[in-house]
Formats: sequence, structure tokens, C-alpha cells
Amino acid sequence: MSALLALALALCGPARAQEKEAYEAKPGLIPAGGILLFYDSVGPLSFETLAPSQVPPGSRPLGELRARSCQYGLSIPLALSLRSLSLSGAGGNGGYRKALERLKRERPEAAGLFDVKVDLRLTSVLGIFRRLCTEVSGRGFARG
Amino acid sequence: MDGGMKTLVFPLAAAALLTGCLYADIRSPRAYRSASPSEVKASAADELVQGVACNHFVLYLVAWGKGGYAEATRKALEGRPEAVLYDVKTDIKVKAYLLGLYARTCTSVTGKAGRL
Repeated sequence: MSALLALALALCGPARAQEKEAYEAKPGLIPAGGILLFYDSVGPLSFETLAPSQVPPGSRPLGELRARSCQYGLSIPLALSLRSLSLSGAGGNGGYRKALERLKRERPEAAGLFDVKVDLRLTSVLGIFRRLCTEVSGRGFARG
Repeated sequence: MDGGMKTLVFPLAAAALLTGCLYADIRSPRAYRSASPSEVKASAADELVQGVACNHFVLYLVAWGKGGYAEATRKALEGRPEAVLYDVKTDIKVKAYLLGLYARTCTSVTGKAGRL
């Protein structure tokens, strides 16, 4: 009986270890390959947004609002080859905080957002210049 | 091919070989805090709506599209400016043809259109 219990525990252990956590932080940082010369970037990690029922009573709707913040990357190839190394660097603030600060500057009356959607916009030109933007959109509200 | 065309094509081809991508401008979904039925004025008559937004990839060289949540939810609520989505399911759908020479990734948002 104890052998069976030990076997069951042994089998359950690895399965439990493989279970994923309910929340996994996944940063949205701009990738940089090759020989990295510099990297100084901020990306989105998490943003606890409001549900419609959490909007303070008496708030005034502001309609759909959008905000954006970006990270930039450069990658200069060292040779004319598919597998050639490149010199690269990346920087910028593409985090939630920057995007929402920008929104606050543009719409000072906005007290918050609900029904929030977040997309990552990648723009790449020849693979040499890259831009990764965090685009936040949602319904804004102002305090009554 | 005349000289002018060569001068244009060669740098583009070289750049493509070097980098694998001439140009890309795509949006991908990251997060969406959708509402639950208790958070909106839900009713049994609320219509089930769907919005699909896609990114397109051609020859591993060019990519474009608005395949994010913002576009998918906009399409789902097209013509219903006051509505809000609840009970939302999101899926990603990928199609690739001819060894991936053309590929499409789509974000699909399905939910009910309720009122605030």
C-alpha cells in the first residue's frame, strides 16, 4: 500500500510542477539580436484595468480614447549574408505608464479607462529599424 | 532591365537577403479586459457578435495588418456605438499556404453586445 502511495506521489509530482501559474508576467520588450551595443528600454508588463461596473457612479463618459508609447531598435548588419551578425541597440519607453501619462496630458479631464484593449504594434523597415508600440484603447470617463 | 531599375532592385534584394524582411507594420493582441454579464446591462436578447482582424505575411518579406484587439472589437461592434462586449471569447487563427509564402494570422473576438 505504501509503495502504491509513493508511486502515486511520484507520478503526481512532475504533473503538478508542469501546471502553469494562474498569472504569468510576460513583458513586451522589443527584441534585439546580434551584438548588443546598448539596451535601455521599458515595455508593458501588467495593467489592472476597470470593469464597467467599477466606474465611479456619476462619471461622465468620454468615448473611445487611445494612447500609445513606443520602443525603438536599430540593427546594422555587418556583412552581406543571411547569417551575418549585426550590431544592435534598442531604447525607449513603451510601457503602460508612459502611454497613460501621454493620454492624461492630451485629455486632462480623463479620470480613467474601462473596457480596455491592448495591442502591440510592430513596424519594421528592412529589419534595420524597428518600432514596437504599446497601443492602449478603451472607453474613458471623467469625474462628474 | 534598365540601369535605373537595377539600382532600385539590387538594394531592395540585398536588404531582403540581409534581414529577411523588407517592411512590416502589424498589430498583435496583448491584453483585453472584457466585461462579464454582471458588469453590464445584459439581457437574453443580446445579439452574439463577432469581429475578426488579420495580419498578412507575403514571401517572408512584407507584413501588414491590424490584427489586434482594438480592430477586432471595433468590427464586432460596428454599427453599435453604444454597445459593449461581454461574455467574450477570443481565438487566434493561422493560415499558411505554399510553405508559408503567404500566411495570415487573425484575431477573432466573439461576444454578446450589451449596454452599459
